[in-house]
Amino acid sequence: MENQELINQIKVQRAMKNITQEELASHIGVTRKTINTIETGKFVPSTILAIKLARFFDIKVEELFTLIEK
Amino acid sequence: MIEQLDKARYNLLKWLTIGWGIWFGSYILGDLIHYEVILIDLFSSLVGLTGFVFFIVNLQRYIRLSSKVKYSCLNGALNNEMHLLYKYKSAYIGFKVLLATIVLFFILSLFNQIPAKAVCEITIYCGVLSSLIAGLIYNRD
Repeated sequence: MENQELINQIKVQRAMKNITQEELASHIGVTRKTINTIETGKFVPSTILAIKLARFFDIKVEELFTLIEK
Repeated sequence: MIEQLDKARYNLLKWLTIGWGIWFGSYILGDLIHYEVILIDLFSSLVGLTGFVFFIVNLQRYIRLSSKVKYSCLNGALNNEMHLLYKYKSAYIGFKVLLATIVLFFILSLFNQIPAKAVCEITIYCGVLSSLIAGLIYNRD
């Protein structure tokens, strides 16, 4: 696990949809801080939250979150 | 609304930490050091009282806000998984500091006699304060 890193496309998807962290947070039902920590990789969301995010952006979870080797 | 409540909660936690730190800190100092000069004694009592007022007022506001959030539809958003995780992490850090303080006092007690009251007060102070500070660090923007 230590030589693996989880990267996400939330910022990119947000930019494509032209929405702010606050708007995304209110759609998903979390705080802006939660979206910010997920985006910056400080917090790894649960499966439920990951699915909610993927559904919102209308993409697969694997497309939103990718596990890469360091 | 969510952001405002989240910010209010963070600010309350901040003032709760400051209030507790000042009040209980000066209380312990007052117990450990017996001031000879009345002016210093008066000053430390005043600082302690200010901290106590801060602590009590913010604790009351924090409890009121928490109960308001608990029964509202904002509960899910404000107490989401990240917030809960940070709460558990803060409590865990507080517990580790508490254990470390006890171990430290145990080692010190092998060489010196330490008053039991001081040990209890300092242990509680370190445990609670570290937990509150950890909560502030985890939840900062």
